[in-house]
Amino acid sequence: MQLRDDEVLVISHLLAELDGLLGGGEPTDSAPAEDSAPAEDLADADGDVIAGLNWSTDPITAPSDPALRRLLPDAYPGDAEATEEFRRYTDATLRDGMNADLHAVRGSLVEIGENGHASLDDELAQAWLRVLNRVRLVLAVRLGIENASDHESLAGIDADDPRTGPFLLFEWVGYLLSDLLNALN
Amino acid sequence: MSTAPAEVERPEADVRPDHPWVTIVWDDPVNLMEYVTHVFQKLFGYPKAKAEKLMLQVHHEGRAAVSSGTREQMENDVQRLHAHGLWATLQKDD
Repeated sequence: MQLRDDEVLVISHLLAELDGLLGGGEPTDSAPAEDSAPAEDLADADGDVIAGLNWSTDPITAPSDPALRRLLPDAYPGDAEATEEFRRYTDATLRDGMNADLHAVRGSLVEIGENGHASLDDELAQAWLRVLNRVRLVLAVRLGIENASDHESLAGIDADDPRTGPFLLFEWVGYLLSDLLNALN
Repeated sequence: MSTAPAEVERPEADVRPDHPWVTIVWDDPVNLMEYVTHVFQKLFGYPKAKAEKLMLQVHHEGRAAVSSGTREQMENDVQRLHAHGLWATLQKDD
């Protein structure tokens, strides 16, 4: 992964926004109780290894922020009870995984800031993919992109439209994601 | 860099009529097509051709059943898809 200084800066701002959205939680790999290898911590979101330790006994409602709700959507449309139960079993694990991804990407971003580049192993590359994709999802919600024509109409907005900046970021992060996928395949 | 799927858990998972629950992925205008294909390969161990076919089905038909199995298995699949930013739900197979 190779980025210019100004690109590192832009990404770190986007990561800070994502962090704020997720509540700024620390990844659980700093928790002393769990006897798991660091490699497994990064894979939390993909596995059910520690899911059983992460269940909530309190009801968990859908996030009120639509961007966060996009990252944590309803699992059972039309079934509020089952959806709520799904959230109780998965919400903490999903958020931990997102925070762990953010943590990992931030680490390599520091390295890129110092050296201009960082080599990503497969695990770290997957974290980058997930984070870049999440950044796009959040920007899309803020931009009101709900269907393909919303996207097309944004491409034609005036330069002084306040949505221009976020839209250019949205497109640019898409290019980064695409480049990274091409590099992996 | 390796392209081998590292997270294959149930390579036999597939859409079969004898499986009572299905995981549905819904179309959205944001997720890149190649990203969605990548996630299907990575999470389910599907070959690229199958992952692309499912991605295109999501894109053109608005949704696709990407896996089937027990309710617990499908909840796990939905959780893993959410972890990758895909809009996934589960339901009883009709």
